[in-house]
Amino acid sequence: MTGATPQDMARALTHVLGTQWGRDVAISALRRLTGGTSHDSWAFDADDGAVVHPLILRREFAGAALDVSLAAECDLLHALHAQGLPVPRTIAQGAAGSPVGTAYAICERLSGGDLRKRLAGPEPDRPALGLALVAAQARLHDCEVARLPARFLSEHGYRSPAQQVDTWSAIALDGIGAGDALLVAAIDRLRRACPAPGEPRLVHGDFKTNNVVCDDDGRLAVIDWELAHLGDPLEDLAWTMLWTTPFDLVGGIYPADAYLAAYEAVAGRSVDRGRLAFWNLFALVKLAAIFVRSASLAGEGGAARLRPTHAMLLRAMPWIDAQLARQIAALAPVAAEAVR
Amino acid sequence: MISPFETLDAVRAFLADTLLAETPAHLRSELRAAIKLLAETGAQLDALPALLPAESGALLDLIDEAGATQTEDLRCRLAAGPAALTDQLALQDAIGIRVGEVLCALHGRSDPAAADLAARIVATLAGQAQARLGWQSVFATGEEPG
Repeated sequence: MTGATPQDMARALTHVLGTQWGRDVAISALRRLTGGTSHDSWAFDADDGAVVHPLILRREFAGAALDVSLAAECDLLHALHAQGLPVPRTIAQGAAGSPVGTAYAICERLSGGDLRKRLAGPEPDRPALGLALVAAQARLHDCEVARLPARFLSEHGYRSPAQQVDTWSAIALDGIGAGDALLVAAIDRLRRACPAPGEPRLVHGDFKTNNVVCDDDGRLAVIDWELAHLGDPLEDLAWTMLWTTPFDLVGGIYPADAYLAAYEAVAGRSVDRGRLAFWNLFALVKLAAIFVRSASLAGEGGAARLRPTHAMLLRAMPWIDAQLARQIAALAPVAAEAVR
Repeated sequence: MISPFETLDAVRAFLADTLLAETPAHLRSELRAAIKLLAETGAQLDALPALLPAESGALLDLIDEAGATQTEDLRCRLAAGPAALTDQLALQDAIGIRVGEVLCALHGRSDPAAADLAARIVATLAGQAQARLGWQSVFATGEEPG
């Protein structure tokens, strides 16, 4: 049921949740949200006769080898929720061949929308939101790795900086080609300045304001865990620093230095600026790889086609190149030290 | 005869003014993107023929300075004069591959001259990337990572 109509999907959800809860369920307000290349999302309400539950359905319809599987993501969210961390509560999950047609997960839906929209709205409380976001990020980095689920750890256990560079640079180079001299030079710089592996911590992999939702009471939940893995938390900080519009954590709430200072204060550890420079450059290579991968993945139902929205992403390469040049220069002293 | 750019503009106007309103909601973002792409690629196609030879020449000068060998073929292709845009883009890609190799070699040296030349090549490439920012709309011009 990859190309499901809303009516098909409502029937499937009625069956899945009715079975899960052991009572009749009525589905309403079902609408497909903007779909991704390997997943799509639907918002809906499920009325069990006593309570109306606002929920999100996520379906997995294309294999993306680097992503956390939906099953492992559900396990992870369940474990993080149990540790009291700011993630959505999972309600149900199923494998391929389920009534929903694909592997799926159903999670609670917070009422207030994502923080990017909130920051774009009237009079957002920027200091409070900034502090809450930084605190959420630091708490996730400090979660107990030993208590994370086995399926997640087996799929996405620790990745050293060198492994991350190898993985993402291969995708970027494969899609963009060696004719992009700045990309080639950036990857070379990363290899020469690669820091030593550190203590494994949970890394979200895509921590930015549109991946954090907030309810009307101010409760946050971090969503979209497909790129989560164990690694260096500075990778997460560098990724967050990539997004700097007025609706982002950096640029919208904090200048970059203040963001790092806030993180250091909340996390209680200093951020090694040399190591961060490595991850700042890495973030751009990963971004290029993600854009390439979005364009190359088969669409829903396996229809391989370059959609205009994906073509637009590929055209952003000059912006990435311009930033690569800036970050190559920033990493030069670190790389030079490594050469010596 | 209608010019290629007038053709692109006419298609874009039809999509934006007539088709967009008739398009189902879940496909509207794709159509809006297609409309933008037509405008961006039109501007790109108009500018590239004048831009590419100068950019390619500047990069060949820099990699010659680095002592790169076997650049004669690239020089000959550039000196051959006006070529189809696809050929110019292929030449730019071939030069880009050599530039990348040169930069990696320079990164492996620890002398100040190598660092200086690498910095100048990176700055030149950055300038060339900046010249293309108007042909994309994912990031705002001036938007930079923190």
